[in-house]
Order: sequence, then structure tokens, then C-alpha cells
Amino acid sequence: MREAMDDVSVPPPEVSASAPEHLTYDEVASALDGLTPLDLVRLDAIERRYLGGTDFAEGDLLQEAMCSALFEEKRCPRITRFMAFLVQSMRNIAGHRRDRLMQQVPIEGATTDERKSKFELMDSGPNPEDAAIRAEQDRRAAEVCAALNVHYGADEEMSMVLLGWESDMRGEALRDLLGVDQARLDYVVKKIRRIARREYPKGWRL
Amino acid sequence: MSRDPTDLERLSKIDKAIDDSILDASEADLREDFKEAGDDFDQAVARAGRALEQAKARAARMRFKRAQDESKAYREQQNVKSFDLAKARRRFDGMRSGEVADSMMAARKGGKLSVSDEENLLKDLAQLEALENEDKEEGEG
Repeated sequence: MREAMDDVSVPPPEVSASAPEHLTYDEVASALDGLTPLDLVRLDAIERRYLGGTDFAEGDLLQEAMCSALFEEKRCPRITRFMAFLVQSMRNIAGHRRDRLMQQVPIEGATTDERKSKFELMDSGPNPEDAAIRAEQDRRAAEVCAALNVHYGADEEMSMVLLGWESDMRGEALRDLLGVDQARLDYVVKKIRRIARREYPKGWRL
Repeated sequence: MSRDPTDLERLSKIDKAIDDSILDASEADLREDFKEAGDDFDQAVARAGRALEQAKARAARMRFKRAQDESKAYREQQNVKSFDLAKARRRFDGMRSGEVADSMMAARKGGKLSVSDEENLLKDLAQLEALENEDKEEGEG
């Protein structure tokens, strides 16, 4: 599950045919040095959305993502915007950390015996620990969706944007879906973002 | 027939879209976002700036450590070379005295060699030693 989410796919800059496929150390260092205060604020706002369920303090997750780029543990493809790459790295790092921490604590509401007997029924597939984590994530996701529905469900525009996002729609496709101009779309998106931040200041914890 | 996305998949897509909206948001909108959440835009700049400086410091330490390790490995390689030369010298002396079984006929005959002949022979022997060691390693691997 986590592996399937470990992707990075964002619009391309111009690339020379002879250049390596990924940014070099010097290019990563230069990209980091080139971050503007506004870029930093954006990264801070996004970092906050993934701290939930991890043991990262503020700034640590962003630092990890920057280090993994500098240490070349995660390499930034040239076809990917560097900011988007850092964001995806934060998502991945936080997700893996959350999974690891979940493996260290008993799943809420289930004793070891209950979990064991439940998973003994399955011949193949993920091991019991992974399955338990997945089950916990599904339970949590259902809870978050139900809670968000209370805020977004009654608003037709917000509901439509969410449905559009679930189909990977952006920009023009979303404007057409809603029949609104960009300013109105920006307003609806802003409302969704702020409700999410208010209700889940540190993200969904998934 | 495609199945409906799970809640987890839906939230993952919503996550990405919200992140994209933050990446595309204007400074004025982000200032408002921070204000509404009781946070401060300028403090956020400072927080992320600190994370950046710490990441750069860690990278610098990592690169220093890597350079240190490479330098150590190089020095160790140099030691091996000196050791091989010493070993070659013993082998050469053995050849000259005729005590080594695989020594060359010319050496066993005890012909007089110049200093540079000796040095070249020593180098050749050291290289031979290295090649023999490589052969042994390949044979073991």
C-alpha cells in the first residue's frame, strides 16, 4: 500500500538529453539554496499536514526530506518540480514512520489473540502486522471521511471539487465540472483547505 | 469493471490536491491561512529556514565523514602497497640466495644486478604479488 503511494509525478522543466536523469548533489544543494521565503512557508504548511501519528517535531520532517535529497537516498527526477519532490518525500517519510510506529504499539481495541486468530484465516497475502496496520488505516480513513463529510457534504461546490480531485482533476477540468471561473474555484479550494487544517491540523494520520 | 476507490485512496488523492493548492496559493492566501489557524507566517519562514540550515549542516557533516573515510581507505591502500613491497623484497632476497623454489634461473645464478634493476624487479614482484592475490580472491568468490 505504502509503496503504491511512493510516487512522484509532476510537470517537467526543460532537460538536456545528455544530463543524468536525476538531480546531482550540487543541483539539489543549489535548489535548496534557491528556496524563497514563500517556498519555505509552503513547505512548512505542508509538513504540518503529515506530522500526525509520527514522532517528528515541527521542522524535523522537512529536514528529513531535504536530507534524503542531499544524501541521495531519494533522488529527484529531472522531470519533477523540486518543491513537489520535497512534498512527496515528506509524505513518504511520514507514512513509513507512521507504519513503523504502528508496528510498535498494539492496535487499539484488539488483543493479540484476537488479531492472531483473525489473520490465521488468511492463507496468503500480507503478514499479520501489515494486515493489522492496513485494517487500522482503513478504520481511520472511514472515520476521517465521515467527519469530513459533515463539513463538506452539504456544500455542493466543495463536494464536487472533492469528487473531481478523487479523479485527479485540476484547473480547467475542475472549472468545467463546477461551471465556475478560476477565482471561484480558488475560493472553494481555500475553504476546503482551511476546514481540513482546522479539523485535522496535523493531517489525517494515515 | 473498475471498483470504487477506498476511503484511504480517496484521502490520499485529496491530500495531494490540498498540497498542490498550497504549492499554488498566493502569499496573501497563505498569510490568511496561517492567521486563521492562529499561526504566524513569518515564524513559519523561520521554522522552515531552520530545517533547511540543519539539513545543510547534516549534509556537510556527512560529506566530511565520507571524505574522511575515503582518505582513510586510501591511506590503508598505501600501507598495503608498502607491505607488498616489503614482501617482494623478501621474495627477491630469497631468489638471489636461491632459497625460493620458484625463483628464476637468472636470479638463482646470482648475476650482478644494478640498483635500478633491483628496484624494477621489486616493483614487478609486488605487482605479481597483487595479481596473485586478485586471482586468489576471484577463485574464492
